[in-house]
Amino acid sequence: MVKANEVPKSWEDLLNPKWRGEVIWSTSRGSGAPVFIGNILAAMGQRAGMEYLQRLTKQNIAKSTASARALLDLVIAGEYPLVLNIFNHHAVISRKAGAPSEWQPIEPVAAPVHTIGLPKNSPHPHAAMLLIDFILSTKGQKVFQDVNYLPAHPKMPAKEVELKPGGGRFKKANYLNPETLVDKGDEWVDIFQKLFIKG
Amino acid sequence: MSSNPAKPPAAFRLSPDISILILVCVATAYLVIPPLFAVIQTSLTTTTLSGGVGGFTLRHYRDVLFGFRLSAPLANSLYFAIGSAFLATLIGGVMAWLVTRTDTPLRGLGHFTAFASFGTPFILYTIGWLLLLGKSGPVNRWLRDFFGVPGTLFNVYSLPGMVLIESFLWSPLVFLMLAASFRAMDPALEEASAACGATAFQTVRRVSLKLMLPALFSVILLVFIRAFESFEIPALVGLPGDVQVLTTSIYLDAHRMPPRYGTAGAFSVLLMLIIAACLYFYSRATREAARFHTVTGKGYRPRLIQVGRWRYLTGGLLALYSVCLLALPFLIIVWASLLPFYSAPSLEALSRLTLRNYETVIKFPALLQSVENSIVLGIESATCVMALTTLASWVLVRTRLRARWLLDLLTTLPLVFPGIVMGLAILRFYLTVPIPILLVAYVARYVPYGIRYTHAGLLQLHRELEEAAYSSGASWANCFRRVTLPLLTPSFLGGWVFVFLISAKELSMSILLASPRTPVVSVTIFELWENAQIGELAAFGVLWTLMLLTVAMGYYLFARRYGIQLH
Repeated sequence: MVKANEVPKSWEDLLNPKWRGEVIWSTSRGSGAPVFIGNILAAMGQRAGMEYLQRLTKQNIAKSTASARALLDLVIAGEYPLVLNIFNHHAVISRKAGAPSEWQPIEPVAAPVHTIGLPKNSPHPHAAMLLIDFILSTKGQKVFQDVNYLPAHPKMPAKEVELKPGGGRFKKANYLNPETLVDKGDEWVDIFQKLFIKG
Repeated sequence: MSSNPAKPPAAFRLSPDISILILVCVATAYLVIPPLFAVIQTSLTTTTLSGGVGGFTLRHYRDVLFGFRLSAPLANSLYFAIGSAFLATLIGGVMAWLVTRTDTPLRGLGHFTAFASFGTPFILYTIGWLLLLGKSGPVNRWLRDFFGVPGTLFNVYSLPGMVLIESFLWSPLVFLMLAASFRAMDPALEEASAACGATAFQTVRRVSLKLMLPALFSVILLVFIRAFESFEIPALVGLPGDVQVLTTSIYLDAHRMPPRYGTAGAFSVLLMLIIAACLYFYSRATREAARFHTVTGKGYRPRLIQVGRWRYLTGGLLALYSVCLLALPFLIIVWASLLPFYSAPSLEALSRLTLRNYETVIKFPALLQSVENSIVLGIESATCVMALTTLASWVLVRTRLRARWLLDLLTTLPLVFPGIVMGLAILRFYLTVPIPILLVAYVARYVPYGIRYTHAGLLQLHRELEEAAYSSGASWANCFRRVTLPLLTPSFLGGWVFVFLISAKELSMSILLASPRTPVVSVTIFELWENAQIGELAAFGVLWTLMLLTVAMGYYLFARRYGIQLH
């Protein structure tokens, strides 16, 4: 368990030797280590970013193919004190259920964009369009809000306001749209494998 | 009555042989050739963004051979696969021997444990073990308290940890396969050895073990192959500890757009070549199969070895096996199913126990549907596989047809496919054909398992029993139905239940082939795991395991009712 005053609050804090072997992150292309790497490079610039990542390799971060949610559960179960790159609302949902979990933003916060789409040749395209309209409406977004997920609608705050940027705990978010993920994703995966995976 | 009683008339002998060979070959080829074709094609072509077939290339082979700093993952893969094969065979083999050949108390537990734990989806099982052996799990806590030192004494996220869990996963398979052949061993040779003054230990070492060699070799090979190409344990246990094997290298490498199916294809083709080499040596080693005939026309129920005062030790071993394989992982899953969020077993957590997860599971509409689908599919695939493999084994063991090698090859081929590749291949090949795609996939994949039961069973049945039937004027069909099949019943039923159980938990193919309209249990569990609904997953897993226990129990009672000896 990590005490409140020991929680790393900056990128630099993550390099503290006491976290060596105590941190875990996911290999997931869409929300795990590659996204963390892309976020660092965007925030610090290519050169400083790579230098930072080089130093981060000394921390021997454990890897898992599991989802961010599953990794948070490992932390709750006491297997690791820290997990990088989770979805902040999961930490809140678990805390509400009584679990020892908390989240800490380090700016800029990487924010993967979730997408919704209608496949070509789908059997009921009109019904599907109506569903999409509902999901994107404030009424549909309220469903997300009610269960403590983050509504995407700009006018809808999160149930716990501080979960969204500008809600009090953090301002800057780095939105990773699907184009960036396709264009840069392979590059981040390569860096991840080269730096963080032992051959 | 024929004038030559030693041989049935030529017309009866020849035509069923060839017609069965052709029938079985065509059926197996239909199942096996399309995925093989698809894998080779995938390995030699580029894949377009939409998943279509692009141009010819050899790049994937270059990538596999030189791409991922091959030596370390390869060495890890070998360590992992060899370690698992030997440890699983040791654990499963000793248990099978105790259960089938000795009068150890608690023998009933052996089959029960093996069946029940083998039907448990791997992912559930592995999660159970990680919860037990993890840093904050009870095992490490006891070790810490016992030795009075801080820190993690047993790091499960390591090669030994991987080998241990993988061996636990495969030991029921070893147990079930070896029990089938141990049960049918000719006691005459052992009795002869005892009559010549050998001690029990000498008899075991110099007679029994040698008789078991082909069976042992075949299961070691099987577990080796399965471990070599397995993904679950390397991903769940190996990756967090920075232990990479070939399959996880490929998985990590496939985290790209578009995914690198070609590399997986090339890997499969190379794996296939390695396995083909193993199988070649295997067939050479067991060429003189006649030496291993152990069931002849003479009384063939093996004598049980009296363990005497060793019975506390042997009974204890069986109990330990049961506790390790079934009770502990099951209990920790039960524990997880009763908690709103997971925490290691402790008095403090007792206050949080709740049945809410069970309530959620029972009210979840897709779950009932997936249970029903899994059971129906399991019954169908077990029946198809055993029907096909009984005939195939008969051709392989009993006839001298030249074309047997083709059948042998066809029925062994599915072994070399990593499940996920086979799923992908079947998906690509049959996408537009309205067939029960899961059933085809299961049958294709489990033919080699079924055949190991019936083949071993038949190898041990001396042909003199069938010859006696022929010389009394029986037709082939008559003899097969009234002599061969009844004698094969233990192998056949064992194989049937086995295929049923592995179908019931199959994940790597189902995950690609199951659609929202045809959910199966393993995929549902995987989805719960993906969503990290550990509590709901555990509750569902507990209910499913209880259901499989009922099947195992049912088989046990059925076998007793019809006089099939289980031990």
